[in-house]
Formats: sequence, structure tokens, C-alpha cells
Amino acid sequence: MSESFCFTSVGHHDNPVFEMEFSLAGEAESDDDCHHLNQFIAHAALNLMDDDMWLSANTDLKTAGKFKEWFLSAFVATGHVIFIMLRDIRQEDGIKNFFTDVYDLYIKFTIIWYLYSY
Amino acid sequence: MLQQFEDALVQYDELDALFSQYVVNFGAGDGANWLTFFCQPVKSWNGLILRKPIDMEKRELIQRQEATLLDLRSYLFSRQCTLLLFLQRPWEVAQRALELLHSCVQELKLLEVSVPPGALDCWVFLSCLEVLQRIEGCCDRAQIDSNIAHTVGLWSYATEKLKSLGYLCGLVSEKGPNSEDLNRTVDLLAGLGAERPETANTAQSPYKKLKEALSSVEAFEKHYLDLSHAAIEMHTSIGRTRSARLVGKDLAEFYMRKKSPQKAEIYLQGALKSYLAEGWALPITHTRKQLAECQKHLGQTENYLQTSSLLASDHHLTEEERKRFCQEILSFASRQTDSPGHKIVLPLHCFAQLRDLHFTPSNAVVHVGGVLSVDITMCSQMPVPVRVEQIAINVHFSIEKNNYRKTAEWLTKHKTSNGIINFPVETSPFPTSQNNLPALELYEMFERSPSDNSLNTTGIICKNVHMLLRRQESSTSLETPSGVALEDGAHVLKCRDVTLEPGPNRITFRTQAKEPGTYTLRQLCASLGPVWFVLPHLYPPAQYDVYSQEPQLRVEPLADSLLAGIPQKVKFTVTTGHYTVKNGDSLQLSNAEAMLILCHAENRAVIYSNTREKASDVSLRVQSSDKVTSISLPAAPAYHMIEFELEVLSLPSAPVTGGESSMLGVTEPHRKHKDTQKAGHCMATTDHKVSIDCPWSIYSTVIALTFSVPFRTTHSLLSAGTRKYIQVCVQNLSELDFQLSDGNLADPGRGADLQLVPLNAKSPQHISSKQSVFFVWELKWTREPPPSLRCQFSVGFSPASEGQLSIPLKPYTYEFQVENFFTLYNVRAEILPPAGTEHCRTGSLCSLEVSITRLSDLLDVDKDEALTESDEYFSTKLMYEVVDNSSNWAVCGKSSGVISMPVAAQATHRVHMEVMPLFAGYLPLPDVRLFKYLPHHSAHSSQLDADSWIENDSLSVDQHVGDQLDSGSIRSRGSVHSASSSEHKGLPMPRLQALPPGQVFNSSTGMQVLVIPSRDDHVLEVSVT
Repeated sequence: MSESFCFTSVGHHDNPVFEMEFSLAGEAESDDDCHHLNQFIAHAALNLMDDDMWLSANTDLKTAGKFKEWFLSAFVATGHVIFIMLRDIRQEDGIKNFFTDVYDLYIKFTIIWYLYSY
Repeated sequence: MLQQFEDALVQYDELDALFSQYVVNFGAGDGANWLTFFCQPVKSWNGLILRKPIDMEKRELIQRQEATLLDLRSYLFSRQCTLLLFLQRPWEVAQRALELLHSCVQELKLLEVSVPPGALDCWVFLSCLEVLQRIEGCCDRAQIDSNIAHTVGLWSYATEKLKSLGYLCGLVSEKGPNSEDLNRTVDLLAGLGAERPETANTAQSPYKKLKEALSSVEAFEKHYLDLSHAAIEMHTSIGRTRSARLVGKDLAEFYMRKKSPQKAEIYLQGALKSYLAEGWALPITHTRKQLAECQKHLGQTENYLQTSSLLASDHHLTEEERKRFCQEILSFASRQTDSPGHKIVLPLHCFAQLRDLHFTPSNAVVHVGGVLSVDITMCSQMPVPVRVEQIAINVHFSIEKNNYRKTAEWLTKHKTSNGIINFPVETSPFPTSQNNLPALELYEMFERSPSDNSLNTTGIICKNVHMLLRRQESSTSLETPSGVALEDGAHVLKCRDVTLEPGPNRITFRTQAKEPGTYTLRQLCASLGPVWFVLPHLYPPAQYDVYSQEPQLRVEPLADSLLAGIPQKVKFTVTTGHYTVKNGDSLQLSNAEAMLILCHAENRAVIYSNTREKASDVSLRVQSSDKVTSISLPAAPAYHMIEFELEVLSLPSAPVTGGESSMLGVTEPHRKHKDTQKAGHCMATTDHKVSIDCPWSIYSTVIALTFSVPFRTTHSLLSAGTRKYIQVCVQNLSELDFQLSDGNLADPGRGADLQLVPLNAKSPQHISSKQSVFFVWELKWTREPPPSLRCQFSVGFSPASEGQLSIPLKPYTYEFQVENFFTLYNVRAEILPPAGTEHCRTGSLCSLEVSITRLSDLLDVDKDEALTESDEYFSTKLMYEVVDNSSNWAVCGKSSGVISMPVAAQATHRVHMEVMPLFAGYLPLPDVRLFKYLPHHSAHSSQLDADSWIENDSLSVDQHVGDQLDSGSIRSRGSVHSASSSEHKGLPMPRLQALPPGQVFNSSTGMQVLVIPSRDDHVLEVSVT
């Protein structure tokens, strides 16, 4: 069974800003057909986020749960940016740490962008 | 019963979690051998059983250690479900069920349990429906409707599973299931076992539904459509449009399989719209691919070609796929259509993108008949080179009223930086619809209490909420198949047979300008047979102007101003406009009298093109006759400029001696007026009008040239006793230096009895810019001098910088008149110290002796009203006045008086006065002024004493030196006003007339008297002048 991950960062217009797919070392790359499938799922899952986001005080939306037999985790960053992680195995803690790291980077880049833009 | 259910639920949950953890650990390689027991192949998939409080069957299986993973999970969940329903938490059941189904599927994969294909789908489908029916059984409709959010997941999961079962069992294919499919169906149904007794009587039990759905193609379709529609409806009702779109897309896929593309299209369009709106590139590509197929089946040629072009330019597709879609367009284009005139109009942006546009000439202004080229850069989106039959730009023509824009002057002044217009690159995919939303208009709001003005509420109001919170579906469609209207204009720029390579291509359009006006580029179309790719609007707008210009002649001096008297260069510019100058065309200049046009051996003219590029350099023939100068123009094409220079010479004419000059002419030598400064340094000017006949017009052009006289001349009369001198001052007002020579003063009227003896250097004199040169002549006469003398001053001049001039220059002349220049009276003043002392002292009275001596016998100038004839001789009345402007002297007693002066040579009148020096030092003598004392014109009856008039303060002084009667004299005389008005008290009054400066010579001017301080003075005041 392959362990693959699909990370998508969604901007505040609900548009994908960054997408990346990766599988654990040693695993074969997922085939091309999967790419659009992941996006379809991520896109449809946004509706779940919309609901959960306002119900939870946490940025880490654990309730995103499962969607279409994928494990789905989401993280709400500043500026209504959402990080979505689709994966086919359960790995809550690892994903949580991953999101925290990504958020760190995101904040740094945002600040740098502001500094150089204004 | 307190807490019993909760506690039991906790126990079950813990058991559940513990088991899950074991499974995860087992998957990770942690050996828990007892779990292999659950890894037996799945043989039964009859779903969850929730209608009994305890599933005894499963319990027994567990007890007997025969339960599979699904059995154990089913049993645990049925217990949890029962407890949750006891606890009135049905929605949690739905939520947990979804989670359970997902994790069971995952766990079976993880544990690598062998499951026949479709078995899990059956299990999930049955379980979903079982849960939903169980919940429906304990809730009313209203509750269910308001909690769709909890159940919709199960609905769509069931739909999905049914779909995959349908595909698996060949129920979706056009031909229906084959034998292999049927075998598989039988196997799957066998795994369901027999229906349980508790649902046997239920018409719509999950078991019956599944069995029915798998029994025939039609039944499957019915059930699948029911479920799909229900799921879409539920998703939509709770605002999960994206999920609804996804279900819809599956449905579209189903319809496509069932060869019903017309039903599929609406779902695909809906999904595509949603992806486009949010810019999800891969879903867009995938959906478009499906849509293309759908449109192809539907025979929507236009839409299909548009979708194909979009897909051919889509970089998310493989090269082969893109080429395939591109080929679709090309093969359609090359096909012969039945109706030849039929055009398929598609938007250009999916085929190629316009990047930039460049005009040559870069300012996009061209004259009638001129050639304009337009270069565009088009970025072809196609994966292969495409031969385009024609690329055309539709141009809108408008006659502009404001003709100024289109003149040559405008052309040269308004040069754009580079003439390149850049078109924004479409950043696709990008969420377009949100971008078009207006900006949020937020305002602060404060509501204060009316009684004490304290803040009641505060908040933020969004004023354009109605714009922002509009339903997105209602906004206009993003990908309209064809809303492009093809304009049919008379003006089209065309380019035929262009092969567009993938990537940027440069295309050049050339056109010859015809009618003057403004041409706006409107549409860009590329045509491939019947397929027209059209860019409906070019934005930013690009336009070019065509102008027509009348021929024009301009004459302007090369320098800031033209100087009279010396050759000056004047530039002639002929702007040919629409007129073509032929050989033999000439400009006829009618000569002005006082202006010469100097013809040189060779004049050269330069012809420039409209863009100021030098075209040629030719010689110019200038012929001059008495009245007309003819300039033969070189042949020049239309819209060119001919430039040449000619030298003109304005003859220097002396400005007629005006009032200013004549006044200066009588200026008394001792008066230092600043009027010369005030007169300024502006040169006198003369205008010459030249009428020019141009070959292109029957009317003459009149051109005025203004020449400035470089010099300003003033004269003055100087006296030394009876000897007279005339001084002429020539001031150079120009910026040039000149050489003055042969200064001459002549008296054209008189003969030998008057002689003007020059006292000037004979050599030429240099006069620098803004400097003056003085010339002096002594006036000598042998007989009685005339009362006035007309003089003509002339001086040759040439610019100092230039060497030999080609033509002799006329001298500069200046005429003036000198009047009353003969000295009649000599005034001499003398101050004597008090008797017995050697020097005057401050504070002590001294005597002032004034002697006025007549120097000539009766002359013509004496014949005026004041002249009286007595027995033997003539006499005239004079008034003297002692004035000390510098307040050195105090005049004691009478300072003025009227005397009767005999008109005879050497007649002398002496006046004695007392003055007191106020300061010590060498003091200048007080001024003695002499006036002619004229009786009143009409009445001589009231012969009043002059002194009494003075005391009456009503003396009328007919003089223009009144301003000199200042406070100094007033102190010494009491009160004397310079009143020019004779209306005082209505009395007839005598008049005083200042004697012309030439007639009075003050021989004591410049004399000084030594005054020593008085002995008592402790303070020594010394005035040094």
C-alpha cells in the first residue's frame, strides 16, 4: 500500500496557491491521473473547511477528518489561507507538526514580501 | 440508570480506540499475532445491522472467534449506535458511521485482507443506507431536514459506492453487462447472504435496494440517479456547492457512458464554471476534456472548437493531447463546409495572445499618402506551427474635429517614448469572478445617545454589501461559447498567409494613409478557413492619426531680435504640406522701401522630411529687381520642409527727435537727471512689412519683420561764457560691439557764418555693448547767431566682430535742434567775509554780492512780453532768486527780487544780500537763479509789487524746475510754493519763465568759500564737499 501525500495551499479567493504531491521514500511516484483527482477532492473539501473553520477556535481543523477515503487535515493560516493535506494513512501528529512548520515559513515569507513591497 | 449509557459508551469507545491502535501498530510492523485472526478473507459483506439493540449473531461469532474485522467493527458500532440513540444523539451516529466506514476500508487495506472486488462497496453502501434509515426511524422529517449537514456525507458516500458497483458490474456500459459482469454480480449478491428477517418486510430496505440496483441496467440507473440527485440537492441546500459539483461531475460521467451527452453537458458546465471561478487548473483541464467530448457528441461545432483551442493551449495536458486538440481545429478548418460564407467566430485569447503593438513612425501620426506600419507580437498558444490564412485588424475611422493634433508641429512635439503599446498578459487560470468584485466599502459607525452624547454603539458598516454578497451563480458565465461580434469595417489592415510558430511571432501590417482622421484599431482576427479567432477589443486602445496640412511659409529671425542697419539673417521655412513644390515655383517678395534683401552669390536650402530627417541640400537662386525679389524654390515632395536663410538689411533711420530727446537737448549742464536711466535700455523699433506671393496660393502672405535700432542718441548744449559746445552721446543698447567712424555734425540749413569745430578723435572708435561714446563740437559763429539751430549727426558703424562687409553700410543719423543757445546773461556771485575779518565764520553774517551782466545787445530772442522800450533803450524784467539746496547758508532778508535789466551789452545789475554760513569748511556758493519775469497776458492794470506777491504766497512760477524749490529755500525765504496753477484767489498774476540754460552762464559755479568755525563753538562741524 502506497503512502502518498498531497499538500495544497488555498488562497483567500479559494484558489490554489501552491500544490505539491509526494510519497514516502522508496515508494513509486503516484501516476499522473491522480493529480487532478487530488485537486478535485481538495476543492470539494473546501466546503467542509468553510463550515468547520467558523465552529472551531483552533487553526488546526482536526474535524476535517476523512473525505472520499482520504485522510484530510486542514490548517487555517492568516489571511484566510488554508493548508490542506490529503493522505491515505492516518498520521495526525506528523501532519500537525508539518502544518506548524509550513505556517512558520508562510509567515516569514509574508513578512518579507510586505517589507520589500512597501 | 444514571450515567449508565455514557459509561457504557466510553467503554465501547475505548475498546474501539484500542483496537484501532492495534491495527495501526500492526500495519507499522508491530507484531500482534492475534490480529492475523481478523485478516481472514472477507466472505460476507451484508453491512451494519442497527435495528436490533444487540446483534447477537455477531456477538456469537466474536465469542466463537470467527468474527472478521468487519464483523467486529459492525458489532462495536451497533452497540455504540444503540447507546447514542438512547442518549438522543442521532447526528453523532451519522458522523461516527462515516468515520467507521472510511477507517474500515483503510484498515482492510492496511491489514492486506483479501476482499473480492466490489465487496467493500456493497458493505459500505448497505451500511450507509442502514445508518440513514436507522436515523430516519427515530427522527422526524423536520429534524432530518435541518441536519442534512450530518447525513449528506453518508448519502454521497453511498452514491459513490453504487457508482463504482455499477461500473464494476457492467451496468453503466452502453451494451449492458457481459457474462463476466454477470458472474461478478452473482458473486457479490451471494456475499450479501439472505435478507435479515427484521427488514424482510421493509419495502425500501438497503438490502432490497442493492439487490434491485444490481439486477438490471434500468434499475441501476434509477437508483443511481435518485441517489445522485438527492446528494446534489442536499449539498446545494446547505451551500456545499463544490461537493455538489463533484457529484454532478460523476453524474455527467455516467451520462456520457450512457450516451446522453445533452444531460451531461449542464453538469460539466456547472463544474467548469466553479473551477474557473476559483482557478483550479487541473480540475479545469480535466473537466474541459470531458466537456470537449460531450460537445463533440452533441455536434456543437463552435463550442467544441473553442474548448479544443483552450485545451490545445493548456499546458497541463501532455504534448500529444494538445496536438490532438490542435489537429481537431486544423482539420475542421481545412474541411470544405457546405455553406461557404459561414464563419465560426471564436475568441482569440485561447488561440494566441496579443502581447504588444508598435507603430512606425512611433508617434503613430502620418500624413496623407504616407506609409504606416503596425508591428504586433502575437504569442501563439498552439503546440504546433499553424498557418493562418489572414490576420486582420479592423480599424474604426473617425474624422476628428480638432485639427490641431494633426499638424506637423504636433507631430514634432508629441513624440511618444517608443511607440510600443503593451497588452496585459492574461494570467489564466485565475479566479476571475472574485477579482471583478468591487472593493469592500467599510465605514465606521457611531451611535450616540441623544441625551448626553455618550457612545451607545459602534460598528463597521459595509455599504456595498449587496454587490459583494451576490450569489455567484447568478453572475455572468465565465466561458461564454461565443459572444464575439464580428465587426465589419471598411478599413482593415491585413496580413496574408502567416505561419504562427508556437510562442511569440512578429507580424507587420503596412498601410498607406488615405483620408485624414483618427483610426482606432478595434478588432484583431486570425482566420483559418471558416474559423475566425477574434479579439473583440484592443485594450489599451491603439490609434493612429492621418493628417493633411496646408502649405505654409514661416519667416523668423535667427537671433532674438533683428538689428537695423547691419545685415541680419532671416530663416525662411516652407512647410510643403500636401503641395508638391515643382521646379520653377518661386516666392515673390515685394520689397519694402527701407529694407533690402541681400543677394549673395550662393544661397543654400535644405530639404527635410516631415520627421526632421535631412533629405537633400540644394542651391537656391535669388533674383532681385527694383520691386520684387524672386526666390526659386527647389523641387520638394509633399510633406517636406524647405529651409533657407536670407540676409536682410533695414536701413537705419534716425528716430525723429522726440520730446524726450529735445528735452535732453536743453538740459542744464548742472542738473543731473536720472531720466536717462528711466528711459530704459529698450531699443527703438521699426517694422517692415513684406508681402510674399507663394505658388500655392493666390493670396499674398504679409510678413512683418521688426528691426531694433541698436543706438540711442542724446545731445546736450554746453556753455563756457559765450563759447558753445554741442555734445552728442551715442549709447549702444544692443548685445553687439560696434566700430564707430566718421562722426560728423552738420548744419544743413546754414552757411559759412556758423562753424562746427570737431573736438573728436579722428580714428574709428570702438563702442562695446551697453556702453556710450560722446562726441563734442564747438559752435562758432561770425555773425549774429540764429535763435535756433538744426543739426544732423551722422556716424558710420559696423559690427566690430565682422571683418569686411560685402556691402557698404549706411551711416547712422540723428537730427536735432538746438534753440536759444546764445548766452545773454552772465551771473556772478561772490561772498565776502564781514569787514575786518579774513574769513567767514559760522554764525556770522557775510555779504553776498550777485552781479548780473548782459552780454549782448538786443537780439531776436529778447523780443517778448517782458521787453519794454523806454526813451533810449530797451529793458526787460528779470527775477533772481538765491537758493541754497545744500542748507549750508541761511539767506537773511529777501532772497529774491525783480530787476529791470537794460537790454544792452555790458549792462550790469548788482544785488547785495546777507547770508550766514551754517557750517564750517569750504562751502559751495548758494545757487543764483534767473527767471524771465513776464507780465500777465491780459491785465497789466494791477501792477503789483513783486515782493508783495511773494508774501501773498500766490506767485505763479512758470517753470519746470519747481521741484528744486525744496525745503532749503523755503527756510530761507519764508513761504514760497511752486504753484503752477494760476487759479489762486482768482487774481491775475505775472508769470516766471526759466531762462533757457544756454542763455545764462553762471561764472561762479563751482566756487567755494572757506568758512571757519566760530570761536565759541564747542562742537566743530566741518562740511566737506
